[in-house]
Amino acid sequence: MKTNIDQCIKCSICNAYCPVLKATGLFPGPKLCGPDAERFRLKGKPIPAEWLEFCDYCKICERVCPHNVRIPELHIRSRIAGKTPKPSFRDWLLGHSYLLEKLGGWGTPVSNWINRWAFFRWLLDRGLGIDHRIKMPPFHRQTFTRWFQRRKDFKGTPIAYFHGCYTNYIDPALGRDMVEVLEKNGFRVILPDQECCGLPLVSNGFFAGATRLGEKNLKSLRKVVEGGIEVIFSSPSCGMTIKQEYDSILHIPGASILSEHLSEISQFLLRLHEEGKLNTSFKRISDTYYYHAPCHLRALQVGLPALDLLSLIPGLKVIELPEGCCGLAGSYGFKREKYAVAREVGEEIFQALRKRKAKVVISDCEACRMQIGSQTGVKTYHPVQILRQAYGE
Amino acid sequence: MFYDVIVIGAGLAGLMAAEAAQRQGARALVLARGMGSLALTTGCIDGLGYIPGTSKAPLASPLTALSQLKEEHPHHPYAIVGQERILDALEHFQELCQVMDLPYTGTFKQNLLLPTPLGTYHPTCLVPETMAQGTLSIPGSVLLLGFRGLKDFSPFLAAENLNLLHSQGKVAPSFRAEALDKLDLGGRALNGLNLAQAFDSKDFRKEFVKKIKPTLRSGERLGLPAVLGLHFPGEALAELREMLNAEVFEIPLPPPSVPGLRLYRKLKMHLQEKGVRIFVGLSALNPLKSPKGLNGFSLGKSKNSPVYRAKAFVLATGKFVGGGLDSERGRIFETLLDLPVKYPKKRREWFNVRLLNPAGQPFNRFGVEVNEHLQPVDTEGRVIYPNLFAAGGIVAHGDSMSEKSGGGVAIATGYLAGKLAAGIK
Repeated sequence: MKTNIDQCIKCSICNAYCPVLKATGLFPGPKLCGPDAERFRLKGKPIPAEWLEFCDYCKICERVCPHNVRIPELHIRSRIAGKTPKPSFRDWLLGHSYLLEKLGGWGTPVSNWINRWAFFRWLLDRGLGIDHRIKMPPFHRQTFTRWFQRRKDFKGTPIAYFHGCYTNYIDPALGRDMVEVLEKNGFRVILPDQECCGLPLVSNGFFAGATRLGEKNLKSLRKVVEGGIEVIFSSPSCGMTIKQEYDSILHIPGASILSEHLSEISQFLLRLHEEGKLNTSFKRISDTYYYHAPCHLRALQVGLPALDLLSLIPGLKVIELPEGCCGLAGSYGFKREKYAVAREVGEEIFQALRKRKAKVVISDCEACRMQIGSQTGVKTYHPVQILRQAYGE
Repeated sequence: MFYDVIVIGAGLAGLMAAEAAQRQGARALVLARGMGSLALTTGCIDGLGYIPGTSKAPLASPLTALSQLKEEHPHHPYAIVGQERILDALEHFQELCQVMDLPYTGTFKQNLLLPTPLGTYHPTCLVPETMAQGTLSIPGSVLLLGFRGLKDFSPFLAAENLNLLHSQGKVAPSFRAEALDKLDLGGRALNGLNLAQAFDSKDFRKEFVKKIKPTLRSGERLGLPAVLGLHFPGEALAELREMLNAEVFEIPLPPPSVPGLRLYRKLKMHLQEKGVRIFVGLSALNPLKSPKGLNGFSLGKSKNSPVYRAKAFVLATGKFVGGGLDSERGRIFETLLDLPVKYPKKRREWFNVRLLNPAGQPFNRFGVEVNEHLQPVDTEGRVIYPNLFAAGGIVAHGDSMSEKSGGGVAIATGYLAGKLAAGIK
């Protein structure tokens, strides 16, 4: 469905909830940037290009809009239309983070030394505009896929796992927990051939590259789905890109078929539970954890399945943090001119955590975990990792 | 997932319904397409300002005008809920606001006239404590203070218009205006919302007081646009009153309205603390029906979409602005369940040619017909789903725009619908 800008009744609710507008005067807000400016763009009139750059693509505007105007899509569409300047080399690098991660993983531990080297960070900061304050996540020699290949075969109902780059190169522990939790429920995990979902490329303005990756993923996932196997993902951002953006933004033919067979992991497990098929022999965890619902999970419109799922663990109390964006938004918070904005965007969440002296935060999205962890020093986990702990050995 | 009550809509009616249901011990869930229209309101709870087509002057008391309203509009939501339950619901709302630390003063028995940013007045009955001193029946002199660059409020325009009313004897106080020089909000845009967040900080308030203290004459009340803090308005108000040694009040601005957002945030937070889940931003709510009634909603069209079921439902989706009603050329329809909506066949009769005619726009009264239990009924008066209740703007025959009755209707119907829904076993 194409966005109809006449749906916008100019109520400004999107502005009231836009975290970036709150944080900086450099962004005029989703209403002006989206439906208002669209009228000018349609007439071929230029609008200041840097406006669009400041949207962090959290999609909160679309969510709070009483008429579901797809404002972020308007932003992206006008970037696709080429009304913004060519992305910089820095943006190229951040967009192609999957290549860097490949390289970094291959080069461990040297790559991690370099990353921690202050002079190198200073160079990146001054030379490229990648903020020196942001913590670079460490690479791992044993990637998730390598670990998986060496694993013994397991018998059970096959299920395909789209792990994404972050799980593979940066957080292989999550991948391992995913596999083990699924095996506890009688599933045999298979890993279909996969590339980066393409979201970093989309948000940095490389649409052709994103489409190429999307086509590859679509081809491979289609084969799996046509073989009657369901696909699950642990990263809401990857999942959202495949389920929604392949079709609505990248216009990859046949992409809509995937959305029927792709599920977010907590939603998938919760559905199992509703069917009475979830293994619920959880050990007690007598603790209080906090939960941050990622924007892109909310964009998937599946409710907050992780909260329902975690409520099955005896003794565990999970408190939902105030609704809002953490600010990192993938590569957004890495950029020097946006680092402070990103920190300001997430401030309400950080404050809530500090006030409550939280130790552990659960969040489905890797970028949220990265940002919340580095800004507040709390330990962060994916909901599935908590389930894994609760299953015990 | 299974709940006792599912409320559709996150406006005032929906949130009140969820609150009432939760209070009855029901597990409640709120599903909404957007965040509800509270941010589009003044944050005041209007009772009944006018009975359109009768007198041009605002009513002195909503309560005593109810019987006349019933004569004009026998199926008005107020007529359905009835005097006793209206008072009960509003009293409950005020208690709730006290608990949420966002006190509201006033009563349904009396209308208060409050200034608007354009320098007119609007009748309302429950007002946040931050606005109470703006009541136009309190005599004396008022300094209206604006912020240069804040486009939603010109104190000069407001003061001029209010003084005109003062000279006609329609409002008690007299006004003068000043504007503060451009403020630095640390690079943020100067709008009501960002100003309100700045006022949450003690240091900012101190600076502010330092700047305006010389301009404020003794005995004068200070009128500001509604920006006295997004999170802690009570604290800001008390502190300004003390430091300035003067009464201070707010005037609500055009949307997004800070007082409306305060109420929304507080209600939402309160409900979440009580265990009510609220999911906003659902673009595809698909009802699951059976011959017995409504079963639940699926949050999408695919077979993988999560399904939420409940014993009873409250429809609080609003009218055209909220998205509960929509129209095509020649047809008006209810968007979620396609419930019957009564409207004249001739399109000409949907509208009043004068946009701001005090008699109101006929389309603002369109909506879903309900019985005495707020259950939507068909053209023959038969209940459509025995476990469905309607509340707020979606209920036909009320016109919040011309009557100034939105908040009162939302609370009265929402509270009742939530209670009735929680009673369904």
